[in-house]
Amino acid sequence: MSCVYKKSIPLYIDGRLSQNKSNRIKFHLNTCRICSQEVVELERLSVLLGNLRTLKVSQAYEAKFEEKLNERLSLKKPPLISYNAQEIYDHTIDIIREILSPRLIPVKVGIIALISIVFLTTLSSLRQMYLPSFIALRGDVRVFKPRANKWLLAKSGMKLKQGDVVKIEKDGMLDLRFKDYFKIRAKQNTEFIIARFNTSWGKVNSEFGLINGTMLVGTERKLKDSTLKIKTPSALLVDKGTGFMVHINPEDNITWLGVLDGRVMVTNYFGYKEKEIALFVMPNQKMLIKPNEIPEGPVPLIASEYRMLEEINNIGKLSFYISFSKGPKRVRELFGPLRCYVYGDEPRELKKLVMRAKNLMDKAIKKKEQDIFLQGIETLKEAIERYPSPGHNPQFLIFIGSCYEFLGLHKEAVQYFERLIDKYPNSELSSIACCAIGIIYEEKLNNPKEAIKFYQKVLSEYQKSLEVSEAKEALKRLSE
Amino acid sequence: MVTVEKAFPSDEELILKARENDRTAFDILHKRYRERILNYIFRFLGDYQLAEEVTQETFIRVFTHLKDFTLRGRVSSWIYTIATNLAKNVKKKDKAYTTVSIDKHILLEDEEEVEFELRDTKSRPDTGVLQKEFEKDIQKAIEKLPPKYREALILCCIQDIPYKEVAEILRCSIRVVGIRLNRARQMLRRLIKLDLYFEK
Repeated sequence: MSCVYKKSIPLYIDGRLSQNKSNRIKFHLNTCRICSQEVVELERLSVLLGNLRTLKVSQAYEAKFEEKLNERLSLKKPPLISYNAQEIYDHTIDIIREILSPRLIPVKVGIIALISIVFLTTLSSLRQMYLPSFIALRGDVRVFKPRANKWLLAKSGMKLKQGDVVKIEKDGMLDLRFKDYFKIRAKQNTEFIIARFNTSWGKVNSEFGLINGTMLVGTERKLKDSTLKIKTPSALLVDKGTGFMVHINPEDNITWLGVLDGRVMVTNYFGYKEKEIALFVMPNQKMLIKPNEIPEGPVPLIASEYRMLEEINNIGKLSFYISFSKGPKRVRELFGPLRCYVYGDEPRELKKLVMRAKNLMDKAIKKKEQDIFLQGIETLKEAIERYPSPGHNPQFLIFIGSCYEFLGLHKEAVQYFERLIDKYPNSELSSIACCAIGIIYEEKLNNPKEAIKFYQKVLSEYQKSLEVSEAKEALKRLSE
Repeated sequence: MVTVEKAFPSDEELILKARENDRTAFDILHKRYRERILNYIFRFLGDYQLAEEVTQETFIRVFTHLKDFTLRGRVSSWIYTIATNLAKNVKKKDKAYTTVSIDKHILLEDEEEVEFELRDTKSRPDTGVLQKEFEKDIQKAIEKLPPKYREALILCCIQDIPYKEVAEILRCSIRVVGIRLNRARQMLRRLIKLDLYFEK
């Protein structure tokens, strides 16, 4: 049997009830046997506990305490930091404790929530930092994000996560970089998936699944302890060195592998157990891996393939493209608005200069001010002088020439086209420049003598170029 | 003229002075609390010698961590918390530990008698109680309680520390202290035959 008041009895005994409730219990006790029994028992217990004797410390206590304390103090190491620094440290710790130990529980909860939010956001942003990102894009590149379940248009600087699928359409190109670990260039008509991407304590475990297309991979020294794997429909390639190219033939799924430097370990899925045999492809070698077949040994690269592989060195580096059509009249495009692209971002300073020039020119065209346009050209000239490279200098020179021509400054235009022919006679653009000079002399400067000289140069030095027909026509015209 | 404040400095004042390497201040604090801590730990562990060692360790920790004390809480609570943690650790470390008879605790190694006193003669059980017998039984019963109930019971019922301070020592709410105490009492009632000590 129990009583509703029984629960309140301990509180009554401890004097923790309000006067009102206490009086009620007191009244209730007169009538309830259960509760009065409870009170008696609890009171007896209190009396028993209260009567336990109080012990005193022994006489040896003091001496032992001193001994122990001295021993402990001698063991205590001197602080590593100086006294002042120690004080500052203590003070900071005190402040943190003050903040963390307010008396109100809601404030405490709030602070903990705030700290955890800050911690989580920092963590997620740190995670973002440790993801590969696009450094350069050209053409139609799309990324499938499995979380959002849709295809997104790729942008420069976009981060890639595990599970993302990247598709590069015709005429597209993509450069991808992860810190100082690796750079990847995917060419047109390529599709790949990021099968795995983990980073921990400076080590990276990554796996790319190449579905079809061409991929150029360049790894840097930091990747030494990490792994970079590329899976193709017929093989698994593990990077052990620095640069290689993989191409998959979409029709028969044959993997072509060419290595520029370092070495690549190749494992065929189906022929044998992965661990037992691994073939190494060494620098300047190539290998064909057919699905379900044991691959033949590596063979040396031929010269054209080697040149193709050299593109690995250009991954991420700035290049400046001028787009010409493929017809015989393409030289005329120099006199109209030129289409050009900037790709890549290394070195950064060069990219900045080019972008500044582009902005100045855009502004000049909007405001119709020649001075600003000239400033843009000067910036480009500075870029050539500070970062000379046979990779992009011909493009810059022909572009500057074209700009002068656009402004009606024919002599300057001719000067720059000539510079291109002198310095880079083997460039693809030299024949165009040579023919353009002829046209300028003929049509703008009324100097047929000089014009004939340059047209003939096209015929003699660039027999195979598309400008030959244009030059022949002009020579015919001038002889009449 | 000696004022009351100077003659009886508060715990906080003593801590502040002790922080500035005032050894006398620490000694006053030590003397003020050592007996209380000794009794608390003795009731918790049931071994006098061990209790004295833990008490010494408690005050060594207090001395070496004087700078860690923030003046937000009570000094007494801080000391009690240190003692509680140490006592619990002793229990954890020494699993083979067994209770020894209470008579034995009073005699130390060097055969010197430990003084003890009765608390309050007025509130003694009204009829004749054999002190040794009942001490032994109650101590045994207390030791059978789970640690969290045991500490609440000792602090509230034996040491007569207010609930609020006990909550501070045990780092829980006052309500939790009440619940633990109640459970401890109920368990103890089952373990001790109260009728033996009281005439009907």
